[in-house]
Amino acid sequence: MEFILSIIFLFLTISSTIIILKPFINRNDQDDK
Amino acid sequence: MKLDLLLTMYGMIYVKKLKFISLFNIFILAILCSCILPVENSEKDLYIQLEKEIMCPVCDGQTLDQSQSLIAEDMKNTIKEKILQGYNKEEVKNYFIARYGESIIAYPKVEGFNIFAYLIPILGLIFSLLIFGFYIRKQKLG
Amino acid sequence: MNNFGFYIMILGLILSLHSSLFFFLGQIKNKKVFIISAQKSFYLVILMVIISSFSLIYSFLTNDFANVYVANHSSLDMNRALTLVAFYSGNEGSLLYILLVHVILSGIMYKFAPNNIKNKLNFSCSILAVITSFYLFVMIFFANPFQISEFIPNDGKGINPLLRHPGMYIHPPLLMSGLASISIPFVLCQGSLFDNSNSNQWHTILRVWCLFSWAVLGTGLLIGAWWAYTILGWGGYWGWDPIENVGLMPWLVLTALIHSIMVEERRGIFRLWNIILISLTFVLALLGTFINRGGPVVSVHSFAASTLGFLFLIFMIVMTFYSVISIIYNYKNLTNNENKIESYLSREASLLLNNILLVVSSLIILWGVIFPVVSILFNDTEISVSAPYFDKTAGPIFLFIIILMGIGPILSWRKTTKKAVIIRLLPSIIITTLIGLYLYISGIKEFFPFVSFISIFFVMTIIIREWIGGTKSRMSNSYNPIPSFINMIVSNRGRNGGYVVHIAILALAFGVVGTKFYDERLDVNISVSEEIEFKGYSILFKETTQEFIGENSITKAHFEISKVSNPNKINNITAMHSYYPNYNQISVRSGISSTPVEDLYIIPKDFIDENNMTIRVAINPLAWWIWLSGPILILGTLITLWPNKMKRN
Repeated sequence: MEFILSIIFLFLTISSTIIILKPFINRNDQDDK
Repeated sequence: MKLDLLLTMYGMIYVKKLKFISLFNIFILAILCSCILPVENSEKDLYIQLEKEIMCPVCDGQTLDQSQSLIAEDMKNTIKEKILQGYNKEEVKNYFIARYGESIIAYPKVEGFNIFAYLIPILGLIFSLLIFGFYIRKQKLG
Repeated sequence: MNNFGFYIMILGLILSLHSSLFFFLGQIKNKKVFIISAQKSFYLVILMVIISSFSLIYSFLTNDFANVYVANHSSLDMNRALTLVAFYSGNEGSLLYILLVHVILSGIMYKFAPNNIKNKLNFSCSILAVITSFYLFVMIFFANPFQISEFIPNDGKGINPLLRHPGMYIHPPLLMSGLASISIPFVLCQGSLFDNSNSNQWHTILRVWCLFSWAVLGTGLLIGAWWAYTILGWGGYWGWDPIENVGLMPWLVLTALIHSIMVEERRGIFRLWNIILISLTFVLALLGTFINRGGPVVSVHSFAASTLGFLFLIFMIVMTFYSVISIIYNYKNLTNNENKIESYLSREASLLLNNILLVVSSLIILWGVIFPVVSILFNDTEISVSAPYFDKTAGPIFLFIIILMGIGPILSWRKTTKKAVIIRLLPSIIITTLIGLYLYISGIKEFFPFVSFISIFFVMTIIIREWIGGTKSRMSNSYNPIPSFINMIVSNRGRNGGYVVHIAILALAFGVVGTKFYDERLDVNISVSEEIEFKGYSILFKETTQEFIGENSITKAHFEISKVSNPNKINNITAMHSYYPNYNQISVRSGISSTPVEDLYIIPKDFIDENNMTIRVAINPLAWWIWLSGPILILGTLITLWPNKMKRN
């Protein structure tokens, strides 16, 4: 059980990081206001 | 005129020269005075009145009236005993003050610094109404 | 599971810090990419808090007593439905609950904000994320709901017996939600403050969230009063306890704000005043969290945790400073020199007066709450400030406000002639005078209750006349007034919803005056099969019964109530004592027989033996109206909030 939870936690952490960093990666395609 | 009769019944005297705002002020004063008038129904049992004015010493800020702890019930019985022994309201209160201190009474006595408990609200109300009056007058003139 | 919940909170904290920083930086540096990133983390935080909450609930449902919080607030014998109650009943859990409400409301506000406002909300969202970060910080380091103990007890302590009542499902969560929700209108006002284009687009969203917050908080307060009346069984419903006051104070100021927002919408004035009001509301709500968690004032409601109090005090001081500075910084935007108040006899003036009275009443209550602490600085002896003080000081002001509730709506915007005022008020004055005569003859002679009653009737007649007039003008074709009446309500939902809410307040006032001034009490010994008479009621003591639920014992006394004038109609009521050995606590529940005229209320004082007991019989006149005001209040709020199809852009 603890193992599954730690995997879930890892998943959440990594995907959150990707989600919040993604706009910066796509930055060059976007105009700043 | 009917209007005169009506307003008289409210205790206000309607004089044609008086502005509305003055009538309003009189009414305000009347309500303020009602704070000072003894509001309690003196026909009500003394012990009920006392229960509402005496705190339960261990009940986290409740009056005896609000609390049903054993200590509160004890004190309520004591109140009844004292009344049967002929104590009046003040004497019962003093009895408890002697045992528990001033904090056994549910409101501050009007003496010393504690006058400010009542003074600040009254002054605050009057002051804010004055500001209201001046503000509107300034707006009208400006 | 406990580690999991804890680490998810840490992840949430990182995300919320990111969100607050990047919303802020994105706004001031005008970088869209920052905003988009901040939006993502803003919504992700909501997910994290939900997951954390579920973790805690899961721990409760699986009786995971390794978790200290679970062990302290639940037990094996506890009904599973009480798990939800246990979740928010303790210090740590209630923080998580408040945070959950806060982030969900933040998400809803942002998601459903109209597009023309959304790109102005960066600053508001930043502040919301700061608040989220604060709560997570406090929980992670000082009040962890996922604390594990090395020693795992076999059974938990169980939940405080006073909390095992349906009212407990609703009152605390609603009240906490109400207080938590105040941050939404606060940050929206802050957003409008820094929005230099000064647009009127903020008014709708502000009004909606102010009303929402107000309605939730108000309902929470009412349900708390109802719970005290029916469950705590001392015969009253409001003790002016510091925690009760701490919920009431922001609600009063919020009431003021709801009214003055109308003035800003209509005439563009009071902008500065409105910012001050919402800041005051927010600070009072924060004061509440401080007092509730280890503040210096004693209350039956408070959680006992002293270091926490210090943190909330700091947070409150910081937010107060922030509010003041943001007002000073934007001062020029706030003063409108174009429109003015033109007359005392205007809607604006009456609403301003209403505001002043509401704020003053709130501050007076605040003064009473902190006075014991202030007094100690100047006196040697401690003093108490409780119900008698508040009744006398706040009561008259509330009466004022009620009277104003009648006069205000009949005044026109900008200016009303004295003649128009008299014409609009005269029929109501006449009717009220007649009612007053009737009341006086019936025995209502004391000054304060008399004036209160006629004021209530005065306002009621004004509202009824408005509605009759409005219905008549729509009744051109049909003879049936009902569709016309509904048509009238629907065509001006703001105004008529307001009238419905005013009616709720009148019902509340009606019940308060009745119960405060005309209640009757009798303490009496009574034996089984004995019948006593009190104020027109026959009370027959039938029997006592005893039940055992687990370790807890419940002793019930059964009564048959009938009116002396109508002995055949019998009402059965039960009064009981419950004893919970684990908490060494007795809870008292009174028997109530309720009619719109009065409540007959039996408090079981002492079970002497199987056949004898002492009871206190109480008559609470008009109590029924207090509870009636709740549904009316909600109905009025819904009417007001019901969206206008034409305005939806």
